[in-house]
Amino acid sequence: MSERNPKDLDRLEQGLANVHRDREAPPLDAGWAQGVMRDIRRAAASSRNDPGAWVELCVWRSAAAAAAFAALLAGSAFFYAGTDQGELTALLSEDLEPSPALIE
Amino acid sequence: MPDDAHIIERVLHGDVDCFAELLARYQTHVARIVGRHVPSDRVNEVTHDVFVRAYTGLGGYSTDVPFAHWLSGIAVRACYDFWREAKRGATPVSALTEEHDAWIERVSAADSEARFQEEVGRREAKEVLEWALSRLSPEHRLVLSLVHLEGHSVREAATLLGWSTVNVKVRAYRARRALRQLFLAEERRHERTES
Repeated sequence: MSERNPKDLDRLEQGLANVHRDREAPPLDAGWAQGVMRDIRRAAASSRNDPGAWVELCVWRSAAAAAAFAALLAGSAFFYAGTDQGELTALLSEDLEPSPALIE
Repeated sequence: MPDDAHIIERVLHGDVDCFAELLARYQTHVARIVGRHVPSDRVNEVTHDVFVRAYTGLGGYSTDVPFAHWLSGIAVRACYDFWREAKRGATPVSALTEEHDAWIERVSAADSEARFQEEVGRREAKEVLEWALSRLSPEHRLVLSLVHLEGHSVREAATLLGWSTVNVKVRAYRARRALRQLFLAEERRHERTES
């Protein structure tokens, strides 16, 4: 066998690609679809009856509610903090205003 | 005949039996994909798994993409998982024989299209393909099959596998290089046994 050149490898790869594309799936067994539907009905029933799924749903809903509440809290804190900051600035500026002379 | 979106809506509202219609519509499509990637005696089992995964993930399906495309992605990922599992239980494919080496030689040197097609149709062709793929990692195996053997674009393969395009591009390059190195190593082994 002589040293294979890249062109030979391209040809070989092309041959393998043809083999791959020509592969045909064997027909699915008789009763295959019923087997799948049986498993799907079982999965549907277990997700309806599974307390774990209910707990999971509750956890997610509570997490969403907690996140919304936290966002609201942060928003209002920011808003009020801003106002307070404004008031504080105003008060300080009043303090720093030159006071009227006590002695004329 | 109700369209896929309508059926999916009904399934999501608890009418599980409607899923049988999706099964009837797409079982051949899915089995064809699975049949290209897993051994023929495992096609039933993996195709079954694809539809169970599709049912459990149906809530995450968006009608922006055709249902067949979404299902194709699940099928490809199920095949990838199959090979990851199989790698742990490793069932080795036997080494190449003189017959296989001769086939490699003939197909590489085929001087006409007719001759080439004749070689591609031989039993050894399938065995050499199986041998080569079995020596690649599950990642390289899937990427090589999708990109180089089936001719999907990098973007399509990335969508099917749920990977980034950069990841697919890099792996596709490495997989092809690994495949070529396999054949070069096999050639050297053959030469050593001949001399």
